[in-house]
Amino acid sequence: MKAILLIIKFITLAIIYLFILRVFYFMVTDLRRRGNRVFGQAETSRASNGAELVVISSNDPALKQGEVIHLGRQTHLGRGSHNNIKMTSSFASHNHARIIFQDDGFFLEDLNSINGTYINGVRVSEPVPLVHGDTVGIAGVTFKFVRWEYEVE
Amino acid sequence: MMYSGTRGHERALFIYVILFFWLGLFSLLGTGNGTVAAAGIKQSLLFGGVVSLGLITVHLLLEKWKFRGDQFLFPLTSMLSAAGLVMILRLKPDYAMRQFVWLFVGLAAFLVTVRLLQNYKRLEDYKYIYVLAALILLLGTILFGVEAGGARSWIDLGVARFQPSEIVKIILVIFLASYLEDKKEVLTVGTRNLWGIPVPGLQYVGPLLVMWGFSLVLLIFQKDLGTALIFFGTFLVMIYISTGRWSYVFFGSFLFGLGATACYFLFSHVRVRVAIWLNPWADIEGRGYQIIQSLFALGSGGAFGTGIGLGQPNLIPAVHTDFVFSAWSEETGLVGAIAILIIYCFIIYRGFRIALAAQTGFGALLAAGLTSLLAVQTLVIVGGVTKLLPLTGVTLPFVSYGGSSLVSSYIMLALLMRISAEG
Repeated sequence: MKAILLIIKFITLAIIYLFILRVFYFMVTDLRRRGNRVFGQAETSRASNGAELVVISSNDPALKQGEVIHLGRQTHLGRGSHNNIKMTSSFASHNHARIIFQDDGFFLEDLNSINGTYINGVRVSEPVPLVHGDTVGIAGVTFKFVRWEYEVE
Repeated sequence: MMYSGTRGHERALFIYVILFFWLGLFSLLGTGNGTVAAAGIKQSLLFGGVVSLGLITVHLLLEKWKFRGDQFLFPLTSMLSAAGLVMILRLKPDYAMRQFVWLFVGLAAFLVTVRLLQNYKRLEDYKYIYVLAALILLLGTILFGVEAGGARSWIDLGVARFQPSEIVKIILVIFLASYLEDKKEVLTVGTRNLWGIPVPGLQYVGPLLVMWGFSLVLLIFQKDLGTALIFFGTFLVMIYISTGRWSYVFFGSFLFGLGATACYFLFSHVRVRVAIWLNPWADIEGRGYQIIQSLFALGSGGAFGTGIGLGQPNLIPAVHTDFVFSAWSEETGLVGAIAILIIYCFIIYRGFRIALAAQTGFGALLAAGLTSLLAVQTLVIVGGVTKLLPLTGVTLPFVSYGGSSLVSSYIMLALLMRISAEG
């Protein structure tokens, strides 16, 4: 009996620490995931040139309303884990779309997604230049395209 | 089938909570200690089953509502509550049933708050009603309160005793968040220099003085040192967060020190507390008995503890409320004690993360305030039982026996999760 209780004691402690490790692991992955996105406009608006996507409405738990995503040279959107903007909705394709920076402008390109990519409600079939204020719709998520140089505080 | 919900982390973490709870129960069964053995195996299995089901139901409901709030807080606090239940069962079997009922009341309050408070920002609009409510509750306690354990902070409702200061704590944080958000600029701007130290002008010290007076009233009329300390500590943290000025913290601490010193000379029970803290060995059989038993419990636990149900924590008076941390440390050792503290650190970390991500100033202040309330309370009681600070009787949030404390802790949790869902 004593031996059993001793074993239970150590298993109990082990369970608590496994729990703690698991929480820690989730917190770190959460931080890493969020670290890839730039939050708030205070930090970003200092740059003279650049753009971001603001989530206006979202059915996707991975993207919260009001979230701001900084756009780099290439931003990939889709369900695959390699994407810069990861989506979890089943309406999103694995490689859904990308936004590329070229000749001083941002272009949205659909990567042959099944459910399509929309700019201001119109489905995109070839790379389209994005203009400040455009709305981009992908798999139930609506983003607003914002270019800082045009932004009026 | 693949899991496709929105609260995957929460679900994954819950497995550990439930496992831990059952292991704790089995450990109690094995040792033949506490109610678990007395009530028979069948009943304890039923008890365990109902608690596990209750916790899982809450998780499933959150998932069903597609609630987007924080996924760490609820498993973390459930772990604490599970540890608390196991300890109550082990320490004061007669109270276990009541604590069990209170846990469900707490969970219900949590769900109701999460569900009904769709827009927490509206809380900002009723600040002066809060002051009124808080004053009524406190005055009621002072006038009609009953005394227990040297503090007059309970109101007897017939069926159950209720501790208004637990609810007042939350009301106060909500009030301070909306008040400070409103007056932030005024409070930040006006300072004068006095010997190189920035001192806020007199009109800005107003709220500080009011809060100070409020804490002192609590201290004097309710003899409730712990709660006064928690109120004032939380207030200082919040005013610092909203203004970013150390001068408030220095000035506030100075005022508190002044008040505490005055109380030391005016009231014998304060003197006793301090004397026990400085040297409990002088009166081992009398006033120092409790804290010394607590220290013995901590010491006899060693690194890995005696095992749940195998120590003698019942030697400590009031072990199930204020000293539950000592009992836990005796039976799970240093390793278990550190685990509990890490869990609190995680909760506090998440709380401040929520504050940082909140969309409005009010949300940020509210989240930070609630988190610091929890942090200060944990520090005060853990510090108290380990003789780091003078002992003041407050509960260990989520773990200690005590209905009002458990319910108010769960309401605080619900508020935090609500804020995180918007942020």
